[in-house]
This record gives sequence, structure tokens and C-alpha cells, in this order.
Amino acid sequence: MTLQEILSYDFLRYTLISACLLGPTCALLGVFVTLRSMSFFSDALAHSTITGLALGWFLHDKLNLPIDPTLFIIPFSLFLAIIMQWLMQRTTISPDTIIAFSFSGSVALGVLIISSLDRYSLIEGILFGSIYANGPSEILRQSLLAIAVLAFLFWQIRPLTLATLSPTIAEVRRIHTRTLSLSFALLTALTITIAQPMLGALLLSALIVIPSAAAKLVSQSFRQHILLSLLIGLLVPPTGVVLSCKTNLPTAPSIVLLNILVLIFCHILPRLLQLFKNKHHPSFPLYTQ
Amino acid sequence: MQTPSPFLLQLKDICVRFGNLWALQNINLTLYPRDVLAIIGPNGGGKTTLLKTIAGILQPTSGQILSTSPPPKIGYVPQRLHFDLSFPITVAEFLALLLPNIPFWRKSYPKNFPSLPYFKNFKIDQLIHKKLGDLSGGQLQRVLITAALLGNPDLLLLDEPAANIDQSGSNELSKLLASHQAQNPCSIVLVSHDLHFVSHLAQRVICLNSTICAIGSPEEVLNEHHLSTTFGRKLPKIISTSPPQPIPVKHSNPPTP
Repeated sequence: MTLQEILSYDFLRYTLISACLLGPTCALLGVFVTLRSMSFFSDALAHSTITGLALGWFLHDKLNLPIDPTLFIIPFSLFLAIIMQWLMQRTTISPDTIIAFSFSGSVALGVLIISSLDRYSLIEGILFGSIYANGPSEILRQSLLAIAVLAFLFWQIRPLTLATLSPTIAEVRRIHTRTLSLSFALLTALTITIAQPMLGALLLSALIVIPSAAAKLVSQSFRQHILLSLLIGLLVPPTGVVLSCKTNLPTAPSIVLLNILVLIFCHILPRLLQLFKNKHHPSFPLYTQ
Repeated sequence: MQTPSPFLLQLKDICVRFGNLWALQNINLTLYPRDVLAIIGPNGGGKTTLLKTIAGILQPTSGQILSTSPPPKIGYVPQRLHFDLSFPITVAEFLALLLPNIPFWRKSYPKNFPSLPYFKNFKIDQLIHKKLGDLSGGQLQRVLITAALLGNPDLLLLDEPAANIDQSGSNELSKLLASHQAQNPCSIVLVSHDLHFVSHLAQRVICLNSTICAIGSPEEVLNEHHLSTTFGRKLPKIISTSPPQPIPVKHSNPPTP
């Protein structure tokens, strides 16, 4: 399938646009998600979409409410993000423990509701997503999300970076670290719920965490880290879509595996450069007889 | 000795409680301009709590803090940064974060950036392009102090500034702070376990163990009586007028073949 052929199909065009929008948005957000050690937090939120959707279907089926069940995903994720942040800030329970029980608890509740409704097919859709489920309304939603993330980071990058490095210094400088953390958690939850239908809960974290993790391996400054993460986020997802179309492989796993390849490349690149440098400028004098 | 007036900050009957534990009780303390005050005391004695209360990070359970109008600008140096060491942020980027008029993620920084007064004193110009995670304990401490001084604070708060550095680094830091304090109208409050560091730098010393056990000049406070009252045990002699004697090295006999 050539690129021209790919672009001739509406659903593939939307998929490509979606990849171009969500890739950099998730990568940019991922810079702070990884630096603030929130990778597991984003994974928990992605899986909590099961419960949001299950609650929506419960109200739809059992109470006969004439509403779209998917509308419950965003409020539930935001609610869970607020609860986790509140527990992290107000209790002495360690953050990873809070994330672990919130993750398991919300998934357990979701599966319980889904089993009572006899709608097991929902679980597969949430876990693996459907990258071709993009239409004009999804693209609009993703565009608004990209603008929101960019705007938030543009205005808050300085306090957010300082609060990530040292909350104490940030507080002395009158930065409301709790409000900032909560806002960032809510933005992460929003991004996850909007991106989840594309990649699914199981694979979504890869789109957020891997570009930043890969960029961090080769960056010499924070500026480089942000720009490289953006570049990986901008290039890898559309490339994954095109490659999956050409090879007839599932799209979401292709994007994730391509991201992993970039991560491996970034891991070995400094070593390769060092090897190359040593070959041309050996550190030890060469003794010849 | 007449105390300078007016005060910079005055703490009146400050009490701080965490759950059932009173970290600070009835703290009355006045900080003056150009004051150098050291807080010493046992672990859990409320030293960092007092520093954070002065910084405004912690709200006291009771009591009040009076300050001059406008309130003094505060620079705070935490004991350590709890950050991911692989965070690829350079010293230049970190310092630019704290200067609102400099976009912190520019490729090149303004030419006057490394010529700010503290850069030379604290030898930051050699570290400017290094990543924070690659710095040694002493280098990071110098960067943190420079960062705290960037806004020309009236009050510099240092939490264990000599904790992560060796003896020579500690002496160097003590000289740097003393020279900075002599050149700038800045008060310093520091928390330290290093009594030598305290005796070299401080004008006043507080012994703190939830309450103020003693306050006065280093000569008045750093004696066996006050220290054993504060720490609850006998401590070795702190201030010695004679220079430290080298420890003799025992050479063992070389092994016989």
C-alpha cells in the first residue's frame, strides 16, 4: 500500500492525523510524567477507563438512562486522579502503594460491573483500543487536547520544572505546588482518556513514557530533552501507522514496538559514539614493536 | 552589645504540631539584618521545622511571625534535592528557571548571565554546562546556594549546608558564606550538625530540642553544659584554640618474603 493509497481512505487519513496530534502531545506530557515518577500513575488511569465505561453502561442498561456510556470515562478518570492526588498529599501512604490499590480497585470494580451486565466484549475494546475508530469529532477532541497541553506547559513550564526538581524551593518561591500537581494530574487523566480509544489501556503508557525515556538517554540539557521527545512523538506514531498499513500488522502494537526500537537505539547510541571516538582517538598510546 | 534595630523577622510563641507530636514549642526569636544564626540540636529536635516555619512553608499551629514591611525576600537551600539524577537539566537551565526575565530553555543564555556577582564567588562558571545529576555534593551545594542568592534575598536559610561535603569543602563553604555576608546586607539562618562549621560562621547559636535550650554567641553556647542539656548526652569538646593535630599513621612492618 503506497502513501497515496493510504491517504485516499478516510479512516486511514483520520488515523494519521490522530497519530500526528496525540504522538507529540503525549510525548510532551510524558517528559514531566517520567520526571515526576508518574509512569505507573498514568498506567493506572488508563486502566481505570474500564470502570468509567462500565459505570456508563450500568446506568445505560440498568437504569435505562438515554446517555452515551463513553461520556462517563472522562469524569471517572478525573475523579480517580483527584482521589489519588489527595491521598498522596494528605496521607503518609507511599505514592506507589496508593497507585497500586487505586489501579487494582478500579479495575476490579469495572470488571465486576461488566460481568453483571454480561458485556465482556467491552474489556477487549478498552484494553487494546481501535486505532481506526477516529472520526471528525475525535480529531476535534484531540486537537483541543493538544492545544490545552501546549497552553498549560507554555504557561506553567517554569513552576512545573522547579516543583519537579525541588518542591521546597518552589514553595519558598510562593508556587502552589499542590494546585500545580493536581492540575498536572488532571491534564494527564484527560490526555489518557482522550488517547485511550486509539491505543487502548494496555499500550497507551508507551506513547507517554517511551519518547521521554528515549530522549533522556541522549539529551545533554532539558531543552534537548523536550525537543527530542517532541520529535520522537511526532515521527514514530505516524511512521507506525504507515508501516502497519504496508505490512498488514496491527497498528497500536506497531507504534509501541517502533517506540521500543527508538529507545534501544537511544540506549546504544552514546556507546557507539564512544566506541567510534576511542577508535579514532585512543585513550592509551599504541605500542608498536 | 547593642542589637541592631529594626528586626527582620520576629517569632512570637511559635508552636508547631504534627499529629500528637509537638515539633516546636514556645519559640521566641528575633532575626536582625546581617545576623548569622546557627541552629543546632539532636535529630528530630525541630531544626528543619523551625527553618521551614521561618521560610513560610509550614504554618505554625499557634503563635505569630512578625516581619518588616515589605516582608523580607527569602532564599532557601534545602538539605538535598530529591530529584531523578537522570533529569538532564543543566546548571544554566536550573539557574535560569529562577530568573523570571530569562527564558530558561534558550539555547544560548544572555552574555551577562555568567557574570552575575555570585557566579565568580561560588565558581559556578566552571559548572554552568554540567548536568545537575553529574555534580558532586559540594558542587551541587554551591549551585543551590547561588540559586538561593539570585533574587538578592534579605534572608538566606540553609538546611545542613555542610552535610554532603568533606571537611575542606565545608571550610571553603564557610569562607564563601562569610565573604558573601560581609559584602551583602543579608542575614543567614543555618541548620547544621557540624559544630566546627557553626563555630566558624555563626554570630549567634541556638540549641534547639523542641524548645530553645540556649541562645547566645558560639563561645557562650558551644560548651559542655549547654550541649549536654540539648543533646541529652556528653559530647566531645567542640571549640579548640589550638590547630588540629595530624593523626599519626602507624606503618606496619612490610611482610617478610
